[in-house]
Amino acid sequence: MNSTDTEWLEAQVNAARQGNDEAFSRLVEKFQTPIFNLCYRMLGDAAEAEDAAQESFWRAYQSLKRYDQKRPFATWLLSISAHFCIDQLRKRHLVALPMDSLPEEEAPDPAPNPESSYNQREEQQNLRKLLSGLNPQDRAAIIMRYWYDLSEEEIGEALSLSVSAVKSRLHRARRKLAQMCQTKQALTVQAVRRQHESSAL
Amino acid sequence: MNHQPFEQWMLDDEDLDQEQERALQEHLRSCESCPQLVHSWQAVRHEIEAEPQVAPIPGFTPRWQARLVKKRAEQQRRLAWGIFGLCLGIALIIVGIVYIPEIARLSPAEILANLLYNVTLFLAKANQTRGIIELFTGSVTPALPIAIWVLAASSLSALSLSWIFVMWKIVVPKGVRS
Repeated sequence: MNSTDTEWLEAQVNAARQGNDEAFSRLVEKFQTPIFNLCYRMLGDAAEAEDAAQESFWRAYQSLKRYDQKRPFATWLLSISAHFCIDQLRKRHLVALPMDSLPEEEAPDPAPNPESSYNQREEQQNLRKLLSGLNPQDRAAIIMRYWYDLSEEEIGEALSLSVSAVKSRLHRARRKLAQMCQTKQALTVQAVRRQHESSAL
Repeated sequence: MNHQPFEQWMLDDEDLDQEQERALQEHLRSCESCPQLVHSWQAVRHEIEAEPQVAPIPGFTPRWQARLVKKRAEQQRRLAWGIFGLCLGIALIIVGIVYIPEIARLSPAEILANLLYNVTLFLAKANQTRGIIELFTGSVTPALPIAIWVLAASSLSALSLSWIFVMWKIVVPKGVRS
């Protein structure tokens, strides 16, 4: 973020803190995609993600007076959103559900392109299933690390965890993702082999 | 076979010194599972990094603005009910403090008799008050000029209107007309 962006952001935050709703709406406009993306990656469902993103902005709006301006605004927003999604997942016991029972929901495509469809959808679903196999906090840590490029310190601050806890969560999450990927590959190989056998017969 | 700390070095992208690098390569030559694990993680990581951020459907900000208005209305309504509940609670506590010690000493029949007595007394007092007002208006009305009555009625109406306006301002938030 360059200095003009930082100044603009500061001005909007200050105006919003003084009760200017238009300024807060401009912040919503700017951060809608990262917040929606976080919610979508966490919850795996576009409708729930929309609701969670809206709720995250409402929570941010309510606690704007308590926002410490030394912290980056984006990280603060992500933190609110991640906590909300973690609570939602805990409430719904989504983690306890088997991966295949998740709804086959697709992310909204702002510019539908017939060429990009099938493979992209397949990849999205695959990734969604992989992420849903992680516990909520590990999932949030992985999303923040790879989609937002946050450092371990920033993730710790956002999720109210120590740096060592973030490190161990990230390690556990990477290991689990790798293992799930291995299992999936093994199942695919088995299925292909079975198909070949049946066609040979 | 012990896979630590090699697994950690590989999964966490740690910067390794020469000695660690040598130990890792040695481990990878003799271990079957570690290279597979790392290969799978690299595949997942590639998949994650290739996946762009998902944007909401267009019109997110207008939907937020509508939600803000709704949420504020809810908040105001909750506040109004909260104040009403608090006042009611305080009133009940005061009534309780004043009457409970007295009620505790009485039998149910006495409580009922007292209640009936108080209701009758209230109705009688109301009747007396009405009589006084009638007497007052009957004797004073002809003595006062019509202009004073008009002035008094207007003042009362203005007071009522300002009370309604204040209540409306408190209960209905800005921008909400429902």
